[in-house]
Amino acid sequence: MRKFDPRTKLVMILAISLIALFCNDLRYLSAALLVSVLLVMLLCGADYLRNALKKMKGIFLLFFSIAVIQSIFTAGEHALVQIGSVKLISLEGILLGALFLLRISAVMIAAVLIATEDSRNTIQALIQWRLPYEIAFMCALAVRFIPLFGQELRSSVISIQLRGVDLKRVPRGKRIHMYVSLLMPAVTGMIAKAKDMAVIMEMRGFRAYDQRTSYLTLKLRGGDYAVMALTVMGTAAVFACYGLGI
Amino acid sequence: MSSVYIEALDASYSYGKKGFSLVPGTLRLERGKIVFLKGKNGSGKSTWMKLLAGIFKPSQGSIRIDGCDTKRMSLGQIGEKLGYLWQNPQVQLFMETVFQEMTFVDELKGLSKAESEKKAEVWLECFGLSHLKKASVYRLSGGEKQRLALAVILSQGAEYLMLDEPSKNLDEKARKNLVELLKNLRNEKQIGMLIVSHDEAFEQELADETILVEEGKLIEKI
Repeated sequence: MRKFDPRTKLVMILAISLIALFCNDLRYLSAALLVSVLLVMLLCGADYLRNALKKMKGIFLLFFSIAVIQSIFTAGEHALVQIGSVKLISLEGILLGALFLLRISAVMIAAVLIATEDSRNTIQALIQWRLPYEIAFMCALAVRFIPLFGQELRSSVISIQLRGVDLKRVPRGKRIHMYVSLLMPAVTGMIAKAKDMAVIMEMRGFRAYDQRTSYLTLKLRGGDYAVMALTVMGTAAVFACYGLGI
Repeated sequence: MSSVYIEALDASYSYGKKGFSLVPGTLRLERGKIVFLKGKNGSGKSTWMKLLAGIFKPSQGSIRIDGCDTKRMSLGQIGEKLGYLWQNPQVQLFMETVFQEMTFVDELKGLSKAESEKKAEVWLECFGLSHLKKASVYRLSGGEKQRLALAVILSQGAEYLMLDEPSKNLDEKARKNLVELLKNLRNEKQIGMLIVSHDEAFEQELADETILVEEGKLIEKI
């Protein structure tokens, strides 16, 4: 599959995110999710999507729990589960939960598109869009640190188990304390890495001069313009239809 | 005769279809012995260690700890027999102070505060860390962090230790202290140890057996 400019991918992610954010309709959000999945499969491959979904399993479980809680605590007219006069689960609640889940899933899967991009290219794309270099660099650095944080967290979880702790048998009252403690090595590790990174950047003359030159320049090709134009027109059409109540 | 050792039986592990793979091999770590794994960077030493520690489950063959197949054991069960010292000990230090670190796991396992504190005092004394009881874990030197991590691991009754580059980042004095400590653990407590290290002097002082690892394959005993 042809490699698109990172700006093209960012436009696609932005379009899907805007639709996910502003459209409050099950059909539109389902379509946004479907388009996200298809785009990732086409541009990154089905295997990549499968691996990304596996890694995001934990966070999707969290979102699902939030969606369920939201369903329960939303008042509505059409009760599906009622205890006495208390409407425990309503149709409106389930709809709200479903909208939340579809919305967040569409955005998260679309974001996978930029994860395959080299961080240097991503920074350059943002700079050529007139974003201040420091902010672009900070965003790209944050994306690179996420897997490192995940790795350190996994090592901590393995460490505690290799001290003979069966995580499932820890008393409920002590679990929160345990999970907070498990975060500590990863967080302190990240802070230490950030401090080292700051020194390295200073030693390489980061922000020593106002003007920066770059050996890398991204050029949009015909295909990029075509895809971006289609994306913008498609998004406008979606909003127009949504606005008209279609 | 009971099986009192960790054994890899024609075991192998692979990082995915296109990733690095270990060549099936057999290795035994007995109680009271120190085995070194040597090899170039990327040869698979740490992978072999993680496989033997049960962190990775073998894709082929089996790993047995005192006769029990690690495929049938949870990491918590493995952790009752075996301890793993990471290259960066900071990864396994969770609490604010040294004393809290020593009592943390015992309290999670349901030991009373009094019992866990008494136990912590004994082990800190054993490892020469009593004077650092109230010290912040973040302010310890590399050698002190390592000793603390070892103290915590051994206080949980580990009979085997896996140590990943334990002498890296240690000064000469700390390295000598570590050598003495590991010798005592081997000789007096019969702890079996598997050590990955590039430190030749460290190896010469400690190794009962050295195995060369090359491209994932256990080549020979030296």
